[in-house]
Amino acid sequence: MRLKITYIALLLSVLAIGQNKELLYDFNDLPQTLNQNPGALVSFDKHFGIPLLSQFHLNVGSSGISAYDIFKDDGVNINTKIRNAIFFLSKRDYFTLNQQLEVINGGWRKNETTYFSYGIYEEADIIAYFPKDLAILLWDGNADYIGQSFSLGDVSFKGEVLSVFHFGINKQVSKKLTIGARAKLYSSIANVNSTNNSGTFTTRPSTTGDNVYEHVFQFLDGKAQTSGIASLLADDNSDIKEDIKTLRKRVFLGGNLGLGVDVGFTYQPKEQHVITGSLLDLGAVFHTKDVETYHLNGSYTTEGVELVFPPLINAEGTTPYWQNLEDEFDENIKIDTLKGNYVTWRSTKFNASYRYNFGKENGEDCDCYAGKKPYQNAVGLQLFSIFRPRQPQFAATAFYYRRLFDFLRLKLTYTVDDFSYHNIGLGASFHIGSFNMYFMGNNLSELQNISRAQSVSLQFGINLIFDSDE
Amino acid sequence: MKKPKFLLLVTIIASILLCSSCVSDVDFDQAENILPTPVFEASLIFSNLEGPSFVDDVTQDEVLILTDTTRLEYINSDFFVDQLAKTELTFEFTNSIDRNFNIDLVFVTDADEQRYLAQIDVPSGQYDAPIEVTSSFLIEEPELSTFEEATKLIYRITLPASTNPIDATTLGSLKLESKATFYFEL
Repeated sequence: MRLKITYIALLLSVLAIGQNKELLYDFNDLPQTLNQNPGALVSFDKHFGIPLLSQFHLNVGSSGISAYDIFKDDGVNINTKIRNAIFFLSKRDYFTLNQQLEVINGGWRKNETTYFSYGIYEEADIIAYFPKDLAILLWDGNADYIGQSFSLGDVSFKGEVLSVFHFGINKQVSKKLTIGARAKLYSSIANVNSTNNSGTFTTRPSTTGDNVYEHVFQFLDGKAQTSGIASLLADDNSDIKEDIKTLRKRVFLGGNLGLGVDVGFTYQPKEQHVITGSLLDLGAVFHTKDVETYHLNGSYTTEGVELVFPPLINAEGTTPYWQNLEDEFDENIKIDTLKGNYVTWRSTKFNASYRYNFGKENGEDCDCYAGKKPYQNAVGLQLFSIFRPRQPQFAATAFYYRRLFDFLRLKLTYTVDDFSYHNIGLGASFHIGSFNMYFMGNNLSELQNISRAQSVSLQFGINLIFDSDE
Repeated sequence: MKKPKFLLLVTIIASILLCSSCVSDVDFDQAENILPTPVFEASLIFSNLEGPSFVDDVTQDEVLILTDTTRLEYINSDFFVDQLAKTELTFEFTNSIDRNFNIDLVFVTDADEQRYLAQIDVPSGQYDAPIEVTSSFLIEEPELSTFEEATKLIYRITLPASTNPIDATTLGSLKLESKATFYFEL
């Protein structure tokens, strides 16, 4: 067995925006591909990353609107632009943030057909749908909306920070098929989620005729589940060091634990045709520690304070009308704090691709793995989907992959998703001696003015590769 | 290794340049001008007094003054004091009693010191032909700050001297409906 490559990964991602890692997926020259598909074709014998520096990754996306829409210098009053945006966006629009930091990443080849990989990474994942009705109510007030209902159902968000301990097995079952699986142990640092809310608030002309309006809170049912947050907020000492100590404990399995799995495969019916697929983060976190759930529910209608002029006529009106109104409200609209355990499902991601390889080089300067001469070109299609509270998000990518002079691998992508229909990305991976560097960015057409982009991605990484053959 | 280092350097410089020059035509200082101005309408007080309500149970004479009070905690709340730009109070009276009334709506502090007074005269109506009176009061600075010191509202009905006083058999009612329009600047 010849030891071909040792990876010391020094990946410094400057900025990566865009939930979908379409440039990294099926980019078999880089070990990070294994985190996107545990059943990817592995082209190296060993890799490991420098703790905390092996990968930093940040995604921010906003469907429907960009910073440019609000902040463009066009002389229009910003409040007008914000109001226009509120009405332009729908409750299906969302803001997302996904960030990952690799603590440890490594792997080794057990034999010709089996590759093990392992690691720890920290991940923050937030999605918030645009609460349109609430936004209109807060921005405009109810005065222009007498008789119209504002729905609490528009409120839907989910946020979690967790650390992930993982171990993956990659197995070449036959010449045509490689499969892989990765077991994941989640340690939740903090979690908050509020989905499936319902109920309405309406101001309408009084139906009894007693007063001008009646305010109707109807079938309010809202829930926000939290774990790992109550203790941080309730902290009596304002010493942030204590909080950091608590958080550090949770990073290393001291939080609420969960289990998950990644699965994936590569199927190569003919040498030139490659089909891959993967399901990532098929799992759940079980929240049992430091859990607090806030539950709002009830119905209440009020027409204001009715003054009844008690029969005992004196100068002092002693009926506690206001207190009565508050009490009635509290009796009917309840906000309970519950301590019950709950389960959150991770946002499962789905990837699939078809690749057609063509154009072999006849030269002999081949550093190719598994004794095969690599194809110089590939074209293909990729699909990405992530399951989210309201509906899955989809992205479709067409790509062209090219090896140039053996030391340069390029991948050009065109992606269609919720954020844009003209997202062009470029990934370049340089392999010179023991040195590897890659650079990936999408939404290149928007880079001239990043504020126009609803999502942007720039990734940059360095690997040092030692090849025993050289 | 020289070549890779050079490439690395070029890439880093290129990305710094890209990122520093990639925001144009935007003015983030506009954020300072963000000012939501929601307008909320809320029910205020209401009441409906039948004719005999104006008769003293003991003496069976018409009363001179009828009054009732409620707290309105929110007027003096921090949120109102800080964010309320102006407010308009609207009082709608429907009088089907053959008797005129002088109405005082007095906003007072906890110590019953007057902070705002709305006065409305309601002419006499007929049982089958009620009279309707709607009065609006726009409260802006500098009055507003004084108004915001109030925590209670007194609804005071004064019955001016009349040759046709109300007795236990008088038909009709004096009805009050009201609302407040709050103009906030957040």
